[in-house]
This record gives sequence, C-alpha cells and structure tokens, in this order.
Amino acid sequence: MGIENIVLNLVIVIALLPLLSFVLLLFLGRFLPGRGGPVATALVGASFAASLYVLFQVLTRGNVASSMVWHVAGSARFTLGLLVDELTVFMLVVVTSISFVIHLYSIGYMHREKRLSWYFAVLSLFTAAMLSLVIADNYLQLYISWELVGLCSYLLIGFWFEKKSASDAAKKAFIVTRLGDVGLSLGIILIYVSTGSFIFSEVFQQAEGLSMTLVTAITLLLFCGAAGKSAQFPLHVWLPDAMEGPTPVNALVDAATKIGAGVYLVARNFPLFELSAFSTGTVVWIGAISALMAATMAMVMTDIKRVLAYSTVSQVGYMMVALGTGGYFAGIFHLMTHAFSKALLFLGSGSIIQAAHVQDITQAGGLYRRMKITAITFILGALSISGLPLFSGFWSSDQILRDVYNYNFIIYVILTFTSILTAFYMSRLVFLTFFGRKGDKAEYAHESPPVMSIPLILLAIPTVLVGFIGSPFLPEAYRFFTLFAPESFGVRQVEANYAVMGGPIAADLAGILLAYLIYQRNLRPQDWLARYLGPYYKVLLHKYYFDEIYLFLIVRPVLRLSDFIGRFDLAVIDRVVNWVGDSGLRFASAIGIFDLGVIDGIVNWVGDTMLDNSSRFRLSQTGYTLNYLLFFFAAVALLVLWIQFA
Amino acid sequence: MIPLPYYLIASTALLSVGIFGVLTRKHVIQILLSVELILNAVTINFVAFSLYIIPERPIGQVFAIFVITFAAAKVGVGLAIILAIYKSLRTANIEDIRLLKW
Repeated sequence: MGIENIVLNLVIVIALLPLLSFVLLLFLGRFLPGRGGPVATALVGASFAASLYVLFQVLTRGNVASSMVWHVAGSARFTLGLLVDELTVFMLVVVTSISFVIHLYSIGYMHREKRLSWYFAVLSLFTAAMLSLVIADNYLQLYISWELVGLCSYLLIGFWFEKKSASDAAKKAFIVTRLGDVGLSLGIILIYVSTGSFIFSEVFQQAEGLSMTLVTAITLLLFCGAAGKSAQFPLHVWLPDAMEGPTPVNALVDAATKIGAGVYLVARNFPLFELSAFSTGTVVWIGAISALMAATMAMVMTDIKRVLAYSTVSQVGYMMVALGTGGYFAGIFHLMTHAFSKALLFLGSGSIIQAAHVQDITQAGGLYRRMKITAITFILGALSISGLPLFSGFWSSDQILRDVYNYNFIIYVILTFTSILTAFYMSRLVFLTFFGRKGDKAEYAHESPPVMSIPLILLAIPTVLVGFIGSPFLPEAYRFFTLFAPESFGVRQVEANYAVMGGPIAADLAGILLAYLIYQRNLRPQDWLARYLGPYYKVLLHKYYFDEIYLFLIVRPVLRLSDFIGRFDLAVIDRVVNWVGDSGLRFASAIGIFDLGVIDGIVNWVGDTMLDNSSRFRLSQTGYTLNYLLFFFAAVALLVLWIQFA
Repeated sequence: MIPLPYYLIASTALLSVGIFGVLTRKHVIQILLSVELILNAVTINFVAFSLYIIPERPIGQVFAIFVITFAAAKVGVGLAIILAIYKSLRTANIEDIRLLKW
C-alpha cells in the first residue's frame, strides 16, 4: 500500500470519526461517562491529529490531488470519490481543530443541559458533514453534505426549541439558506446538463469550452448557494437570529462549518469563476456590500453575540471580495485567521455570558478584574479581527487589500472604511464589557472553569501566531504557505506594499481611538453615536429594515397565498373529494345487492348440488372388505378383457 | 421338458383357488392364506416364463425369491394388523369388521 493510499484511507477515517461519535452518542450517550461529551471530544481530537498528519503528507509530497472511486451507482457517471488537495487539507485542519476545541469547551459550557448527549451527537454530525463536504470530489456528494450541514445548523440553532425565538431562528436559518440552496441545486443541474459530469476536475476541464453566458449562469447560481450559507447580502438575515442557539454552536457555525462552506464552495469552483468577469464582479460587489453593511450594523448592536454575528458577515464579505478579485489564497488565508479569531471571540463571549449572566454590553462593564483569562484572550481575538499589525487577522486582510488595490480602487476604499468600523465596534465591545463603569452583574462574576478557559488559550495561540505563515516579511514561512495555492492560480506579489498596508493600519488605529475616547474616557456621551448619526442610527438599529422588508415582500404574501389556497382547498377540493366518496358509497351498495342475489346464489347452488350428488355416491362405500375385493377383482378381470380385445 | 401351457394352467388354477378363497372365506387368517396362494401362482409364472424365454439367465428365479421374501414380510405385517384388530374388536370375522365404512 503506497503512501497515497494511506492518506486517502486516513481522510476517510477523519470524516468517519465524528460520524462514529454521532452514532455512538445517539444510541449509547446516556451510558457514556459525562453523557458522551468526553468521548465525542476525544474522537474529534483524533480526527484533528489525523488531519495534521494528512496536512504534512500532502504538503511535503507536493501534488497529491488524487481521487478514488468508492463505488459506481447506476450509470457510470454517478461516482463517489475523494479529492485530497491543498484546499481540502487546509479545510480539514481548520475544521477539525476548531471543532475539537469547541467540543472541549462545550463539556463545561453545556454540562447542565438535559439533552447533552443529543447536543454532542449533532455537534459531531455537524463536523462530519462539513468534513465530508470538503473531501467530496463531485458536486453531488458536495450537495448531500451541504444539505446535511444545513440540517445540523437547524437542529443546533434550535437546540433550545422550547423557546419560541430559538425555534423561529432555527426555521429562519433553514429557510433563508434554502433560498440559496435552490440556486446551488439549479447550478449543479446546469453543470451536469452542459458537461455531462459531476466530477470537479472533469467539469473544470470542459468549462473552457462552454459559452460565456452558460459559465456566468452556472457561477452565479453557485454563488447563490454560497451567499445563503455564508450569510452574504441579501441572505444574511438568518445569522444574527441564529444567536438564539447555544454559544459554542455559534462559534462552530460562524468559524468553521456553515459559514466556511460557502467560502469553500467559491474557492473550490475558482476555475469556473475565473472564466466569467461578470460573476467575479458580482462576488466582489456582494462581498463589499456585505462587509460594509454588516459592519455598520455591528456598530449599534448591544447584544454581544449579535455584534460578533454581524462581524462574521462583514469578514466573510472580505473573503468573498478576495476570491472575486482572484486572490485565491488570500481568501482562504483570511478564512483560517478569521475562523480562529471568531471561534475565540464566541467562546469568550460564552464565558462572559455564563459568568455574568449578561448578554447586553451596556449592562456589562468592569469584567476585566473578575475574569482575566477570558478578558485577555477576548482582547487578542478582537485585535486580530480588527486587523491590528502582527496579529493574524492583519496579515490576511493585508493580502486581500493588496489584491483589491490592484483590482478596483473603490472597493479598496470601501474595505478600508470598513476597517475603521471594524476596529470601532470591536473596541466598543471590549471597552464596554471589560472596562469602564462596573455593571451590576460584574460583582458576582468569576472566571470560568479550566475546561472552558483552556480552549480559550488554545485558540488564542493560533489567533496570534498563525498569521505569520502568510507574512511577507518572513519569506521562509511564506513559501511554506504558498504550498497551499495550486500553481495555476498563481502567487501574487510577495513583497510588502507599504502604501497599501498603511491605509488600514491608520484606519484601525483611528477606530480604536474613537471607541477609546467615547467609551473609555467618556469624552463624548455614550449616546454620541446615536445623536451624531441621527435618523441613520435608527435605520441601523432596525438592521436596514431587512426583516421588515422581507416580512412585507415575501413572508406576508406567502402566508396570504397559503391562506387563500387553504380556503380553496376546503371549498372546492374537499367538496369534490366528498362527492366522489359519497357516490362511491352509493355505487357500492348497489353492487352489494347484486352480489348477495346473483353471485352468492350461483355459488350456493354449486355447493348444494355437489352435496346432493355426493350423498348418493357414498352409499357405495359399504365397509365390507369383501365387497371392495370383489370390485377389485372384477376390475382386474375387465382390464384384462379390455387389453385382450381392444 | 414339460411344455409351458402346463405350468400356466397350474398357476391359473392356483390363482383361481386363491381368488375364490379370498372372496368366500370369512376368517381373516383364511383370507391371508388365500392371498399366499395368489402370490404362489405369480411365482410359478415367473419361473416358467424365465425358463422358456431366457433359459440362460435366471431372472425369473430371482424374482421368485423376491416374491417369497415379500410374502413373508407381508404376512408379518398382515398378522400384526389382524392381532391389533382382534384386540380392539374381539373378532376376526371379515364381515364384522366395517371400519372402512363412511
């Protein structure tokens, strides 16, 4: 067995371990120690270790992009396969590492829950679905995993389904994503119709032969799916509501799984997107709009988790912009740095929520003294998201901006402006939560137990350090990192561009300073923002009225239509059905009479006649043995005579 | 050598006696004995035909031995049945045994 086979089998094991955990916890969760939590954590941890091994195998052996057929179903085109290339191993490591930490954290965070085994089971299934999504080598398999990811997010966001808002949020997340998924499924159908194949490599080979309109249509449809899953404008509305779910789930959704799935889809189909300038333009603009709009909303939110949710939408906008401008690995690099930082921030916010029982940042305050580990790691994550130099978020956003700078100056300006906002809302979060006026709840707050604080520290390490592999100042590390980018996509501009770098740094510092002045030094009153922005502030508070617009344009008409259809159903369809039923009944009773009179009569007559005749025939059975013998010999005699003369 | 018809006449006579016995005797044991006569008639036929048609191979004689063996076995079974019937009905008269009537 060659090393390639080992790697391929190992990849299957990586995806199957969380699935095993799911099955185990589903059936035996009650009997396992800690109701299954440690078991699930261990299995996902093993998956993470295997991912690291696969990562190094793939990187040191250069090109290992290869696939193997599991089995053929139906006609030959429907294959199941594995594709283990640079992008795959990259996603494997990010997903398994973050999932592992979140599992560990959940042991502490969720230990009071009634349905703990179920929680861990679905958490593992979520991980398994995401892993099988990134190892798929064809669209069909990808789509199956894609839907599984959607299902798991539904189950987890609605984990506290006794609460109306939670079950509503779960439904919203599922249905809004579904809108995008319709696009994805149409795109996949279009791909199959035009190329006759589901397999990525075959599709990409044939793509250049397709007409421009077709490629544009396909990529736009695929992007629909990606925008739904990654919560991009205008399908971003589900993500803030998803904050009704347990905090570790938000961390998993926002950092590694569901959000990552959309970015992964675009990255995986990069060869297709590259062919259509219109599609990449759409991706860039949608990304830029999402980045800016979400950042503005994050400025005014007071729920700590909602701020983080909008921040996620904004940062994913960055990734989309990067992918659209052709910065293939700037995009996935940002996916990685953001994943670690955002997971850290969510877990930190979970720690705050549990310690201080407060989610509203205006109610918090002065928590720094009470919970130092949470505070310090949270600040590190915030600085990384803000893109402060030397933190990992800085290196990745710097690469994105370098690509954007060459692509379109307007986008560059938008993203730089977004950097100010990002730095502002992140600093606002930190200042209001950890410093300043002591909130009522801060008195009783305490640091979380080690099972929750250790994951924070584990995540803080990559949050700070992982960016250096993409730093232009460390050519050795950088060369290692460029291994991730397939050669055909090209590695752009290795040296630093100080002019491009300077803008965002200045923007960050300005944003942090502004937040510091308002919320820490109180140089401006706390509601300065509201007064300064005027009516626009109200628009922001209402999240640009997206929910209201959707309610008015989509939800209400749909409800009214279904109401009408329901009435039509009662008035017309039901009546027709009843009429059919009644006449059936009448017809049947007529048939019944005929049955009794004629059919039964014939049957009875046959039976009676038989009985009559046979009672006569049985008289020949005398019971005298000699009688029988006489008959016997007579018959033999007759037989002999017959043979003789016939 | 005795001509074939002689044998046949002898066996036919034996057969007739047997059938007559079977039909007229009342006692079950007597009927059993008459059946033996019928079997013996058959045996004579086997041996006679074998002698006249294929004298070089004693097929008929082999058959005769089979029939004798079979007759012995049959008598065993027959006597057992008669004993069983006698035990339950206290009679061995064929006219009193009407178990086969409907």
